[in-house]
Amino acid sequence: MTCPSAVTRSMYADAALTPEQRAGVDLHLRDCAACAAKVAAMNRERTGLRAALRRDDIDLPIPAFAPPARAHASLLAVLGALAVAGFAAAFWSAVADAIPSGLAWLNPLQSGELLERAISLVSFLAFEGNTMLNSALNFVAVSLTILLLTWTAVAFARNRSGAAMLLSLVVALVLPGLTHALEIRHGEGVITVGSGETIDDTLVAAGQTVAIDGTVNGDAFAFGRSVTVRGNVTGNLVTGAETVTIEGTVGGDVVGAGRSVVLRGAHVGRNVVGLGRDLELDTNSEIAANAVTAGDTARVDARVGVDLKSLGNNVIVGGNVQRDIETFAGSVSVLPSARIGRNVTAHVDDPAKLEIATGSTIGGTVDRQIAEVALRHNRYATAGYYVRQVVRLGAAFLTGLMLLWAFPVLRTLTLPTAGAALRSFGIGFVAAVALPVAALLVCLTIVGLPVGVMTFVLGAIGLYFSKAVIAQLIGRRLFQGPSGPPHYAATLFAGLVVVIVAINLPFVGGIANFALTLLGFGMIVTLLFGRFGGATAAA
Amino acid sequence: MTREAPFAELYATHYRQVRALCRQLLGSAERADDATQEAFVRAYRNFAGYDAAQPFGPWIMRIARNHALDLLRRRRLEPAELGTEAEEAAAAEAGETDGLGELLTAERAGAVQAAVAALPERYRVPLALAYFADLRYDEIATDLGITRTHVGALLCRARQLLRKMLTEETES
Repeated sequence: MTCPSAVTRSMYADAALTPEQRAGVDLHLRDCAACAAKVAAMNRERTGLRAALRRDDIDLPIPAFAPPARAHASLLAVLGALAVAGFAAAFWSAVADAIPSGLAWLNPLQSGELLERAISLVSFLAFEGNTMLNSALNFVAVSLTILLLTWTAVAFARNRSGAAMLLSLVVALVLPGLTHALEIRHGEGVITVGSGETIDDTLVAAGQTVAIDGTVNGDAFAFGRSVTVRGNVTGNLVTGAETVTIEGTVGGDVVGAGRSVVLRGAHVGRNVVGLGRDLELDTNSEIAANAVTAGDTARVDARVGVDLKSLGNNVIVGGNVQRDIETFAGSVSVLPSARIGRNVTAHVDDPAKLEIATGSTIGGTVDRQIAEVALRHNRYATAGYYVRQVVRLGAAFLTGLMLLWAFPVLRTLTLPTAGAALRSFGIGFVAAVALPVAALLVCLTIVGLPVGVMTFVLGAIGLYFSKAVIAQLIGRRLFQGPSGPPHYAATLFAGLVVVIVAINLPFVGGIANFALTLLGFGMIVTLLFGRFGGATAAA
Repeated sequence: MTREAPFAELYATHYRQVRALCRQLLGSAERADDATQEAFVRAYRNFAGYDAAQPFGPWIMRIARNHALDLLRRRRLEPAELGTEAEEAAAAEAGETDGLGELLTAERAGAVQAAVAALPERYRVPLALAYFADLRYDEIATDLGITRTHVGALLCRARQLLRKMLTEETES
């Protein structure tokens, strides 16, 4: 008689055999004491094993039970996802808007119009993202980069000499800018370039008052509350201030922005672009090329070597314009003293709004264009426009409040000096240009696509929040006092009112929007760099 | 009453048992802690569908067992990893030893549990299912995707190894 196998005995002890198998083993155990003993030991072992395994570890601490996240967390997650989708959609549609129609096939969001409109109803971002990124800056930066990359790629594909030529061209263009030294002067009070002084570099000056009485053999960038140039700038002059007064000589272009921009007896070697509420180019001034003005009131008595283009509420021309005048304005007056070499084209909403005084000379024709101005005026004349601005303010306030609540550090950001503001603006400008370009480059590699898209989205978020940061800063300034600023919600609201009014100003609103966005963006970027850059350096 | 209150009570009552099952199935305290929490989270989510007339213990143990086996499957406890039935049966025959009998008492629970945790996965998992979770051979065979005699061979082998480990431990 053969004994059952070890496995069969084990299964017998576990009562796991079929009834027939079990009956067979039962029969065997009656005659085999050895097997019976083994099965008995196994039975005891089984009981002991079960008891030992079941013995609770009474020392084992019971951790607190954390119920899983429920509806509110899911809601937050959904809202977060929607927000991110909104940011991305607005960003892409803005980029798409900036692409001219001939390149529309590049647009990845052709059917995104509906989505974009839906989002724009509920989200401040869509408003902001759109206006902001519609700015020419991004378009120019992105298209230039694409052009340059394509050109480089084509040149390399064709032959090496083409690439070498291109490379040397790029180097030739870039190097002077890099090697040309900078003279930077900034401070709280008066920044002066004395009348006997000569600067052989590019000058960057920022202060409460900037006075350039000496000579700058290069470009000059001057920013402050008041900027006065009585000296001689051989290169270009770029200036922004509450009052800009130019009485000296500028060899290149003049770009001046401010509440008032005045040229008094100034000599400009090339073009003048003036942006501001009051623009005045007096009779003793001389502009060798074009004059372009944009502002509420522009008075041009100067001699303009080529064309005059003027945008504004009131345009008064009393000077000598060698070629054409084109205006987009509420009213245009051509004074008796005016001498215009060729044609006058005025875009007005009423033919009577163009007055040409007897005694003035016009070499060519006078053309009154009617329709366009009417359209522009309608923007402010409709109730819908104001409703939109109120919705915009409300949405901006809620988003800003959320932002400041989440990141308390943003509540107390300051720009103590004009220099700091200038630096922030510069950083914002560089970051706004560099970020999409960097993201684009990263996108070109397949691996980098998610990173590239993330960079785009993060950039868009930063740009979007920048005006909330600026609004908070302005609000704090408004409420400055011995008792300290009130609750951040109050300062934010006041600041947002100022910002929204500023960016809706006729003609200069776009520039204000652009400048405030970059300023705020620069502050955010600086903050992040301080935080993470500092942490990295420490680690 | 909110569902949090009765659930918290049931959690406190059954935590150690669920955790012990996970520990025996997964062989690591850390993974057992995570799996236990996950099992209770799953139970909590489905608590509305739980029939209060039925005992909670078997219900939560089944959830925990399924989750732990899922984890093991993800770590490739495939039928192939469990050896073949013939190999295991031959090894069981060759390694035949007497049952431990009284050597296995509740007083030595700590040593037994440690020895079980040290068993290779292919023996530890059926052992825990059979002697801790009280599953029948058929159920174990279904869970692991093998035959019931294969389960028998693995269990026989598991107990032999356990005996060896515990006897060596007693002698030393």
